[in-house]
Amino acid sequence: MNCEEVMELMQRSLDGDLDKAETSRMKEHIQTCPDCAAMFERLTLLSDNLAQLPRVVPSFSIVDSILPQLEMIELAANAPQEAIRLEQPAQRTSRSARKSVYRRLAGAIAAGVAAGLLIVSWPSLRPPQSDQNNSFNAASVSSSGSNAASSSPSASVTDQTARQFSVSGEDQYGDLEGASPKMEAGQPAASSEPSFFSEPNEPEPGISEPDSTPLQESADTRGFAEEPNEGNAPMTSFGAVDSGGTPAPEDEPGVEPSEEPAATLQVPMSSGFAIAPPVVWASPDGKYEAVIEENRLKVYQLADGSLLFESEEHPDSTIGDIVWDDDTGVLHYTRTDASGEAVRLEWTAASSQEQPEADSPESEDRP
Amino acid sequence: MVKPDLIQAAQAGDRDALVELLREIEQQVYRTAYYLLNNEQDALDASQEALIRIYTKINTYEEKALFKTWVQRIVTNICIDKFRRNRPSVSIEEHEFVFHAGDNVEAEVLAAYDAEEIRDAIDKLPEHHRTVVVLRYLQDFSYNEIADSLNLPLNTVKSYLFRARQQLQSLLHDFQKGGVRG
Repeated sequence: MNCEEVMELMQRSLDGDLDKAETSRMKEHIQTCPDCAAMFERLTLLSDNLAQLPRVVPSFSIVDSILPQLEMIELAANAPQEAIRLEQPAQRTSRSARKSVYRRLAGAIAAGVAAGLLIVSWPSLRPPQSDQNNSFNAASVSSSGSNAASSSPSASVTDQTARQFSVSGEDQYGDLEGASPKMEAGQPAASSEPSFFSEPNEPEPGISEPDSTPLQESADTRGFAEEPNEGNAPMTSFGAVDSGGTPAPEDEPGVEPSEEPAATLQVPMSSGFAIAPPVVWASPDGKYEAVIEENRLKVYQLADGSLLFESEEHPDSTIGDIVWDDDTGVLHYTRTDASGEAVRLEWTAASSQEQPEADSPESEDRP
Repeated sequence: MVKPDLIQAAQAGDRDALVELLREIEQQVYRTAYYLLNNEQDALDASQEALIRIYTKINTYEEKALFKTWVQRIVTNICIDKFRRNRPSVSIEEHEFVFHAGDNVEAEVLAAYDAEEIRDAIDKLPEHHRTVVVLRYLQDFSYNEIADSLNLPLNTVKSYLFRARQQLQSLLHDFQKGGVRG
């Protein structure tokens, strides 16, 4: 075997293309030929280095940068007869993403409202071990302190309860979850709470239909009764709420917003209704977290918890439709003022600026 | 790895699926462009062009080929066109390589080459050799996948790859010796 033949074997061996016989032939030669041994060493080093070249990534999303061009291509392809439909496909992804956000929101609100009602209605059912959970405890205490039968105090209790839930965040779920076995013993109503709070982000089929059914009703009649994985306890407990005829939720201003159809769900912070469990939208890339606090949208950097952005305060307006784009660090949301006029906005991580949404109907008016 | 049903949805006219598909391949497209063109801006331009071409030509993709090789064929073609437009082709045999090493390069016989040296050396290769190396090492393609991407016979791919490695080895070796002579 000459050195030239061995060269080919060495090359193929770098690509894992040799069988055993070829490998041993190559090795035999290398052991007796210092030149080939040196060459093999250098080629191996080179090959290793090539394999370790950095997997460079673009400094921005190339797909995002060509979306306008893709839109134009689509326009040209579908023109003229389907021109009207063009903006539809362009927004389908974000729409469906928003829909799932609605679902989550609806579920979260329904859960929060139900929890508030439950506490208001059945102060005696609060978990005896409620010291495991400070906010839950506080809410329960205040609800029993106020008279659950009078409507306006109970509304504020509901509000407070909800706020407690939203402030204390995720730790609470862990606590509740951990507490659930104890509560289940002889506390059917209480045991149902941890079970649905433990998965606040799961879409809940019973509530997911964005139809015109008031959320309140769906919570009572469909939502929780049909909620999967909950066992019998929730049905029992909510049956009790239903049939008990205790405080009329209709009288409570704090609950009122939830009676809006789920499809137009907003977060009306100024009305004093705080959404129960998480009012937190984590970005898909895990870098940022958007929250609504004091009627402002705030974006935090998760790595160090720093506040990156805070929207201006617009009294009487509400912020909703909050949804992150996939992995691009762009957050979309809608601000609706008191007259019902909605402005679609987006916040971009790259610039940390708020601006009108790029694919909003307004900007699409441009030719 | 792009899921087959995503490709099918994109081909069936689901524009969202198509955009999602582009997002999935964006990085691999850019990586090839970056190492073929050795320039970030050119790589971004070429990647945009490639993704737009994929967007408009998705229906020409046939399942008998691997999707990733189809994608790489598009991006390498664009880069080669771009390269031909932008720079005069240099034959490696005719060119005498002069490497300007830093003054302090140590006389280490087999030190690892740094990424920039390797990129510059790749940049000196004839375009087909360079493309084969990039697909082999930056996309982890097999001989067959490279052959499919470049529409070349298998043996040609091997011979390009082997020669490219020898050339790179010699370029980088000269570079190190050049450093010693400093």
